[in-house]
Order: sequence, then C-alpha cells, then structure tokens
Amino acid sequence: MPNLTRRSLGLAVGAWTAVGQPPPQAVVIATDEDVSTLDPHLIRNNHPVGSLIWSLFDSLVRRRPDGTHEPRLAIAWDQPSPTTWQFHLRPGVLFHNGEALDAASVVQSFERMNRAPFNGESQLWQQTGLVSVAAAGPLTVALTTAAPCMTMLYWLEEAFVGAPRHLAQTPPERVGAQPVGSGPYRFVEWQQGERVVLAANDTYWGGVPPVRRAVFRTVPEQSSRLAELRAGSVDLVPNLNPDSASGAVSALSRAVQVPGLRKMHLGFSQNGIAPLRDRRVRQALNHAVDVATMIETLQRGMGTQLASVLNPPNNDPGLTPYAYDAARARDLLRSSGHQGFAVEIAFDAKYPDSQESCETVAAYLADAGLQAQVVAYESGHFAETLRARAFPGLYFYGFAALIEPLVELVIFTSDAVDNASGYDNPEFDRLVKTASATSAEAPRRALLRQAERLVWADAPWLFLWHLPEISGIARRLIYQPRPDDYVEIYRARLAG
Amino acid sequence: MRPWLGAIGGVLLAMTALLAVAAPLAAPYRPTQINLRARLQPPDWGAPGRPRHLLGTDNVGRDVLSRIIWGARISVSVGAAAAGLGAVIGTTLGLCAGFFGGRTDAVVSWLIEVQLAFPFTLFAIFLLAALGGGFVPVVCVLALATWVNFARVVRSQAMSLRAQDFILAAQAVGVGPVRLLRRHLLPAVLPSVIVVASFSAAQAVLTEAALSFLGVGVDPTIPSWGAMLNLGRDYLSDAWWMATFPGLAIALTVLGANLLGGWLGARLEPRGS
Repeated sequence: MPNLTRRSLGLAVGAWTAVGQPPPQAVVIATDEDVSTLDPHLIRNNHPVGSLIWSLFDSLVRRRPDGTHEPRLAIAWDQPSPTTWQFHLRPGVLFHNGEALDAASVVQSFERMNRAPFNGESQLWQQTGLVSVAAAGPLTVALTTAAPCMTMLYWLEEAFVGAPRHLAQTPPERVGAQPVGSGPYRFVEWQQGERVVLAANDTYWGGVPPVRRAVFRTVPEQSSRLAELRAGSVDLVPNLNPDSASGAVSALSRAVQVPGLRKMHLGFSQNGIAPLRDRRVRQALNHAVDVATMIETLQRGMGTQLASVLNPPNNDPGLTPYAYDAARARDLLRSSGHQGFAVEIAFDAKYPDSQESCETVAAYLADAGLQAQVVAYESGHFAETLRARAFPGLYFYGFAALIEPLVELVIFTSDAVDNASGYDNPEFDRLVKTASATSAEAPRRALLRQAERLVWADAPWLFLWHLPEISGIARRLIYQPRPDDYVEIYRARLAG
Repeated sequence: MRPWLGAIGGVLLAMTALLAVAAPLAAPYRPTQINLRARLQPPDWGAPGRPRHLLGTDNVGRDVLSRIIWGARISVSVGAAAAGLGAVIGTTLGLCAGFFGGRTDAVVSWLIEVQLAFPFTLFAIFLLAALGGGFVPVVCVLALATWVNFARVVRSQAMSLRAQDFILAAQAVGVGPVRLLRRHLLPAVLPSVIVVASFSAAQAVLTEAALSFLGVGVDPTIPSWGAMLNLGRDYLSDAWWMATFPGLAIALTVLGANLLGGWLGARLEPRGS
C-alpha cells in the first residue's frame, strides 16, 4: 500500500510537470513582449531580453541601480594612460559548459561585438572609440581607445562574455537559441512566444542565486498579467502604469514603485514642419502644456517632472521645469511669427499612456491656437520613422533610463544614432565632444553643465516626466526593482 | 415576423440616425473636451448644479455620453456608405449575371465564391494595414464584404425574372438590354435589395467596430464606438462604464437594423408568407 501511494504520487507529480507547469518554487516573471533572441550581443531591449542576458552571462563590470559600477568578471582595473585600460579577470570562473574564463575568451566576445550583425545592437566599439582588444596575460585584458573615453565602464556593463568554444563552433543563428555563459543562471529551455526557463548555476562564483528556478513568461494582456499575479501563478510583473498599479494589490501581491529614470517627452522633429526649427516655438510649446497637472492626474502623482535632460543626481539644480504659462506661450509664438500652424503628434502603443498623453497635449496645443492632430502609428512603422528621423511634427517617446551624464548628452549630438529629433547645434556638439575627451574631473563637469543648460534652453523636446517604474510583486518574493527596467532575478529571494 | 418588432427596429435605427445628425445639439459636451480633474468618473445622475456626466467620463475626463453621440456619426455613415456602395456593386453584378447568364454569370459567380472563401476580417486587417486607415479605405474594404450579399440575391432573382412574360414582352417590342435592366428588372429586385441593405448595414457597423477595436479602423483618435470599446478594455475592472455603454450602443443599433430588415423581408417578399 505505501508503495502504491508513493508510485501514484510520483505519477501525479510526473503528470503535473509533463503538462508544463513549473514546480512551485519557480519564480515566474510575466512580460508583454516576446523574447526575440538570447544572443548575448543582440540585446534589443532592457526587458525581457536584457534581463535574461544579465542572468545567463557576465560582463566585466556590473551596473548598480544607482548607475555606479562594481566588479563582476573583472576584479580590478586601471588606466596606464588616458587611452589604455587594463582589466584583471576573476580567476577560476567556469562557463556553464565547463570551459574556463580567460583573457582570450573576453577578446573573442568583444571582437564578435564589432562584427555585423552584432554591432547593430552592441554599441561598445562605436560609443567608446575602441580600437583594439588584446590579451595582456592569461587573465589580463588590455583595451585601447582612439581618444580618452569617459564612459568605458558604462558600455562594458552591457558587453557580455560567452563561452569561447561554444561561440566559435555554433552557427551564429543557433547561439541565440542555446546560450552558454558564466552567469548566475544556466539555460534550460525556450518555447518561442511562450516562456524561457532558467535554473540556478550551482557553481556560480558569486554564490548560488537564492531563487533556484526562474521562468520568464510572455503574457501579452496586462489584465491577464495582473489576474495571474493576484492568483499567485505569477510573481513579478514589471512595467505597470499608474492606472493599473492598484490592480497589483491583493492578499498575495503588492505594487512597488521606485523613482523611474526613463525620460518621457514629445520630440520636436527638426526634419519636418518649419516652425519646429525655431527655438522660440519649441519653448512656447513647452510653456503651453500643463505638465504638472498631467502628472498629478494621468500619472496619479507618481511621475516626476523633467527638470533637465540629465537624470538625478547629476542634473544642474539651477534648472527648473518650463512653467505652464499660456500667455507666455502665445507671446513667444507671436514673436516667432509662427501661429496657428497645423502639427502632427505621433504615437504608438509602446507605452500604455501614450494615447491619453498625446490627446491631452493636443488639447493644450489647441488652446495655444495650433491645430494639433494626434496620429496613431503601427509600432514597426513608428520605430522605422524614429530611426529615419522622419516624423513631420511631434512624437511621443521615452529615452535613456540611465545615470551617466556623458551618455545622456551624447544622444543629442548631431551625428548620434539615437538622436531621433535631429537636433543639431554645433556649439552643443563641440561642448560634448570636448568633454568626452577631457579626463580631468572639474573641467569636464563644467563643460557638461554648459551643454546641459544649452540643450535645455534649445528644447529639442517637449519635456514631460520620468516614467514611474511600478512593478507588481508577489508577497512571497523579496525583490527591489531597478529604475532602468532590467530585472536582476538573481538578487531576489523567496520569503520564509 | 410581428410588425411591432419591425417598429422597434425602426425606432432604434431612427434614434441612432437622429443622434448622428443632431450630434452638436444633443451632446452635452464636446466629444474631445478633456478635463483631467474629472477623469474616470462613474455615471452621475445626481445633484443638479455641478457638471454631470450621465454615462461617466473616460481616462482623460471626456464625457462618455457625448462621445457615444458623436460616435454614432461614424457608425451610421460607415454602415450606410458601406451598404450603399455594396448595393451598387452587388446589384449591378448580380443583375448582369442573372440576366445575361453564360460567361458573365460564370465570372461573377466565380468572384462571389472567391470572396466567400476568404476569411474576411483577416483580409480587411491586411488591406487596411497596407492602405492605412481612414474613412474612405474602411468603407471600401467593408463594401468588399457586403457586395456579395447583394450579388447572390439579385442574381437568383434576375434569373427567374428573365423568363417571365413582362420581360419577354419588353424584349419582343425591341427594348435594349440596358433599358431593360434599369427600367424593368431593377424595380422588380429593389425590395430584396432594401432588405439585404439593412442586414448589410448591421454587418458593416459591427465590422467597423471590430476593425476600430483592433486599431485599424477609421482613426483611433476620433470617437467611434469600436475605438471606445478598445480603450475601455484596459479599464474594465476600474471603470466599467467606458466599455459597457459603447458596447450597448453597437448592440442596439445592430439589433435595430436586423429587426427592421427581418420585418421588411416578410413584408416585401410576395411569396415569402
């Protein structure tokens, strides 16, 4: 009889796992977007792809939630000269397939990032001006840049190292389906459009992650994600909007908000209608919209108004948000000679609040005498138009959830890939380029301050708010979300 | 079919049409008037003196009732235009096929079969994604769905009519085919066309709502019932009124068109009863 019981129990458990249910100790993260690839050098978004790569692979340096840096695969680094760096690797690190980490494996991964198609997503070489990566010893990597680079550590934090033999012997299109890294989790399975399953790496150099099994599931409907969270079948739902936060609160779950870093704005396209190329018009439109009230109502008071293009704590405390002043807006428009023009406000469904935000802004612009028309773009078309810098008027977008002043300013330089508005001010370009080649702290800060003030006054965006970062989290899960969307599930643990 | 059901249908349709025509007078607010301080307010029938929203407000504080009234314009005009365009195309093709027979009939019948074999909603999404949304493209795509209803009915009627005495007599005295179709056949099939038109209009209203719901409709930023339904879906648990009332409006209009169509069918079809 006991035998029989044990056997039927075993059968029951077997059947249960066979239908695809994860065992109860697995932590489930639900996301709207599907996972496109698990290739360490094709990170298309912070979450879910970035979150998975951060769990499966290691970079030389880890980015802390506050933007500062800590050792990861590198235990120490130094700069023999302004254009050369040496990184000393952690000894005894093993990849999931048993290969050992050495300087050559870092060189191999970094050189892969400089080849198509990987250099389309991995920005390490373009952004740092890297010219060579070499092994200076079995566990020492030497990097050389064309000019002094102040953001090397930032970009290294998104440069992941794969198992060298696996990378060399696996066809490139298969690497993304069978990732082998040295990270806190090893890859178990990926069912496309459904879920990715990770298991704790028992030999991880940083200790075994407390959550033994992590499942990243794709659940496109927000209401379904919240319903599952309340029912206990999902543990973590990132990227909630203020209106849905209350839906995350139940006996089993709670809503957790951290100050967000993503800068929501309406870009003023410089390649579209003529009035937007006039600085007075751009300033006028910034004064024409009551952003503070929008935050208080649409964002339920959860966002913070942008007061600079730099995220705190690096922003200039002397700058203040453009005040809502309809009379001032009309005066500026009158003095610019551009009044009553028609303007398009483009949006896609990427952000849950995009349509209501754009419709509200359109109403304010109508009050200022403009004919604002809100136009919905299909998301692929929106991304394409953004990349081509081809919007005719305003476009709703969120940008740069990071804390690194130089990187945040570089995107406004005229030749930056991500400069979607097409803002072009030679004086600004000069300030930022000089700053990025200045290694002395004080003069660099002074240059950045100048650039920050200049771009604020030039107003290439209609400045809105920091997107509030709200996650729904199961009460059994102890986890502090990051302000930049990455989910570091290896830093979570289960209560009790 | 009981006449009072038809009357109910007629009244429902007439009300919708009246609202659409008189929207500027009937709506208590402008449909695009945003009031951030009054967002997501539940239906409010109480206390006179303060601004009331009989059917509540949406996520940016617009009056749901006013948007439904203005949205009737989209639904009524799309429904009428799609049914009208479909009627013109379908009746013409159906008359020719039924009257001339032979190769004309083969071609038209083949077109009908091809159209019926297509999964229409998928086809419509594909076309609108390629063409871009907007009033004219939506009406054209919907007419692609409705013309078949007309063509099939008219073709079979024309086939049975062409052997009847009054047609043969007209042919005997030398009436040409164009005049024959216009003056003799068309009036004879018109009652059926009207019946089919009311059903087709109902179908078009529903499909337009579905397309707007899927985000490829007329324009998500102008108030249409389908777009309101889509927007309300995200707020179903907090603000049930945002999706419920537009849904009710769609249901009542379609019900009205179907009741009227059913009654007309019974009345106008001489051999029907």
